[in-house]
Amino acid sequence: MAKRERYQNRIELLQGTLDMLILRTLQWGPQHGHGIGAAISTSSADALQIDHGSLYPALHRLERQGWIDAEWKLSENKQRAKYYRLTSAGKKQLLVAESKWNRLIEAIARVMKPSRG
Amino acid sequence: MGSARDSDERDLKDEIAFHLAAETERRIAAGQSRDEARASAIRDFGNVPLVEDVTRNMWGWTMMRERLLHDVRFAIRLLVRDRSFTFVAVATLTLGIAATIAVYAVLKAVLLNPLPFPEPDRLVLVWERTPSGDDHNLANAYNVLRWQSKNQTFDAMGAVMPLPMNITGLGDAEQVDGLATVGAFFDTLGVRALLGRTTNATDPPSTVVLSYGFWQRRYGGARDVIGKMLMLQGSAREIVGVMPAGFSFTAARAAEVYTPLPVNPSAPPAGRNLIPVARMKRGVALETVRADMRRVVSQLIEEGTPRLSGWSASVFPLLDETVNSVRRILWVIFGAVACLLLLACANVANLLLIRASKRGPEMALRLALGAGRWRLVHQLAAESLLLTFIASAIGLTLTYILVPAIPSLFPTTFPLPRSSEIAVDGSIVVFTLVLCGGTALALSLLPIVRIGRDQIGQSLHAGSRSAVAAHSRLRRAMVVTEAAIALVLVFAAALMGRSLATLTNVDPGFKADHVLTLRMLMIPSKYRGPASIPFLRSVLEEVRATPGTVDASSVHFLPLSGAGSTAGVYRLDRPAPPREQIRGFPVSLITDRYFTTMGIPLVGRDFVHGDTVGGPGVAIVNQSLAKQLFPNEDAIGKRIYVGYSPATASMEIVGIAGDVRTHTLDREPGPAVYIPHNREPSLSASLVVRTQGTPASAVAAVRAAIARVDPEQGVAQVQSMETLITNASARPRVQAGVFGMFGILALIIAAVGLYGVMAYGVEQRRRELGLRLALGAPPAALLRTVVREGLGLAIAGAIVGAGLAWASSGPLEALLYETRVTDPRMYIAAAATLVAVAFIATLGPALRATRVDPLVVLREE
Repeated sequence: MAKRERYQNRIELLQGTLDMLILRTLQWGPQHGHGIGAAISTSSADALQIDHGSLYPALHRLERQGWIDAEWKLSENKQRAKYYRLTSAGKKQLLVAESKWNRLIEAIARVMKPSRG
Repeated sequence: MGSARDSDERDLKDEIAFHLAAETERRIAAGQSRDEARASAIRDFGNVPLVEDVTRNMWGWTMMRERLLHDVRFAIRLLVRDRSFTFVAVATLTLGIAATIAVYAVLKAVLLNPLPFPEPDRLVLVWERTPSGDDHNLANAYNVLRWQSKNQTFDAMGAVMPLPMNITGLGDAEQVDGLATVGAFFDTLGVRALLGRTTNATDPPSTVVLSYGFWQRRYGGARDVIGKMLMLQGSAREIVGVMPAGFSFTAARAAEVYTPLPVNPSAPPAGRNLIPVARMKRGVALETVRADMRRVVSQLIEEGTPRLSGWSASVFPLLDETVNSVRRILWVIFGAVACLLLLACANVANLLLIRASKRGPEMALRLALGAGRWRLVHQLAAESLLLTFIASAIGLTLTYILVPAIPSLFPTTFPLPRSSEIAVDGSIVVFTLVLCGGTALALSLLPIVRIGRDQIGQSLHAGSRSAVAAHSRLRRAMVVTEAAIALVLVFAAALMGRSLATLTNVDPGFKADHVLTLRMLMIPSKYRGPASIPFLRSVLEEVRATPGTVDASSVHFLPLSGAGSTAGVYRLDRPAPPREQIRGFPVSLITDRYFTTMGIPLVGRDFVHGDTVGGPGVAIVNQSLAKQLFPNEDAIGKRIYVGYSPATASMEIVGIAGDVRTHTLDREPGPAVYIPHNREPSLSASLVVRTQGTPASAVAAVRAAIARVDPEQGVAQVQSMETLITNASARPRVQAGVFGMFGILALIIAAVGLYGVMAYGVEQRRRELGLRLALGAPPAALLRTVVREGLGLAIAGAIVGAGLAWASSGPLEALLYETRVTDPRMYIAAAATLVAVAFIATLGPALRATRVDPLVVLREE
């Protein structure tokens, strides 16, 4: 049982990171899956290579959790595309995720500092 | 639901299509050609169906039904793709499941279902209990009539006497199994006739009821048979009824005709030859009935009923009496098939594990895409369920086809009671479904445990050392389990085989080769009493004069035939012992030259034709009796009391014969007495004929000889003495056959399991093996490594299995003859067989290990 708990925490951490990046991207306004992927790559200066395939399970999960909404609209190229939009619950979730993330960064930084100096 | 899902499904496809289109455009804008852009977009996206599948899983529980369908479709695809796996898995499971269903069908019909009579729980058999404690002695007709009138706990009572019956006037004279009925036999059981009516206490002996089989065989099922006359025992009887097809009574399952037996209450017959059956009053407990019967018998004793002092009565439920002979063996067989099914499960679970390991990269990808672990468990469970379902369906069909053949596994001398009631009905289908569910659960349990333990990092790297090690530990544990179960079954088979071999080598005390036997019941209306003496003599003289015969004689019941008489015996030159201490010994009524015909050694003189009614009483005893009654004395010339009839009260011993096994082959011969048939004429006389050629070659001539004396005299059970002995060991033969089959199946399944694991292990370690070869290890060393590993697993299994066998083989002992379940030789034999089979199973993978090409392997990664 203990083993399973530990394992689940790990999965959530990984998933949570991608979820946070998606929510963060949607803060700038509604966007379709491809746009989200492109935005993450661009804003991280291509440092984060997201497996595009893994975006969609995450998007559908976030949608089910009520953190994002979706509607079909025409894209810039006049094609039918599914646009995702941040909900108010999603906005709150993003704040929670961000603060968690910052605490994690600080903690890791504190651990890593001595080795640098 | 369906349309909502369809639109979701379309949306998902559209969404991904849009993504790929947008990505292609982006790449074209970045300077790639259209085709190049399209291809790389798809490549970078990943496995599209897999992404779709994982995404779908995010839709929540409302989609469960669809997901299940999807899982099943996916499982079907996998099973079709991997045909050899599917074949082995389905074949193994089918074997285990079909065997379990079939044995359950038998168990249920024979042991668990109520008897096919109204309110069968109220039916009991009543026996007389001898002063020496035998509680299954036949009952005296006079006593039965008294029980009937004096008891307070029965609603109805009847009795039967199994009797061979001579049928004439329907072509060749024939002797069939018959049942003479006393009182309200049919009404007690509560059965009705199919045609006409059954007989009851008031019907005269000139009436007869036919069995369904006899009616079909001799009258072609003609409905106008009622009222016709049938020549039975030399006199005409009116056919008043035909019984329905399934009707049979435990005491004479093969009875073909039922005819009332007249009992004169004022002139009580001397012998004990009836099996009484009674229906208890509603709501009366068995113990109350037993107490009531004890009261009735002691009252009869007080009234001075002859030959009853020291006796009592015993009462047993009819169901128990009907199935007791097979109860233990059926449960033991059920235990064995359960083991077989468990073995099949372990084997298939192992194959599934191996496949799961091979699918490691796919699993890792699914986990990386965010598929929940339970989703993977569902997938594996769907696969197990599908496999089990296919196997169960085939198993049920096989059972349906094969069940009618099961009773024929049991020879007529060890018949399976209630075999006509075995059927694959609704309850068997329900049992199959439960079994299928349980098996699937057992199969999916392992992968669940496995995936539950998997760490994501390990799964991503399918080749990761620790993951592989953990997997292979589990696989080995499964193989050891398989070997252990197989050892238990092989051990049981070894015990049964050893027991049968011991029994087959038993010396029955007579020379069985070249002896023909014929059962004959002399026609009562012609040959009752002394009239049988000249008739039997003529028959024997006629047979002895027949070319091809060496000698001939007769005995009223053949040894090992299951029938016999007993009587109390004590020496007359000492005071008579108290009644309770008189032991009953087998008594055989024989004609002259019985011992020479049978090849039984004899000291003293044989009976002669003149040892007859009215002459001086003479007897021959066997060595055991001589030793027991006359230790350190010469028995010849001494006088003994034989409580067979008033005419045998004082007999002079004129000869001592060798001991013969009379009851069963597995029982040591005890004291026995021979009395001349001419002194105590009986209607029952089996002929024994020593032949020059095979007994079969003399049958026609012997039959013709009997017909020359009286063409109306029928014979039955014409068989060689050797056949009779074979039949006498029918139960051990059935046991050895069934368990031998189980043992072989278990070995095959375990061998497949071991082969699978070793072959997979070799494939996994190709790099290591190739490296060792490249470094100069001789192929023989690799061969040894693999074989040693395989044998190690088998030996571990054998040790565990020996422990299991030690703990669980207790119930087998009662089924064995002079074979102990603790016999270390049996353990060694079973283990040696298992290890030998394991060696063969390991050899293939081991040889493959030596043929690994180092260059190919090292270049592979």
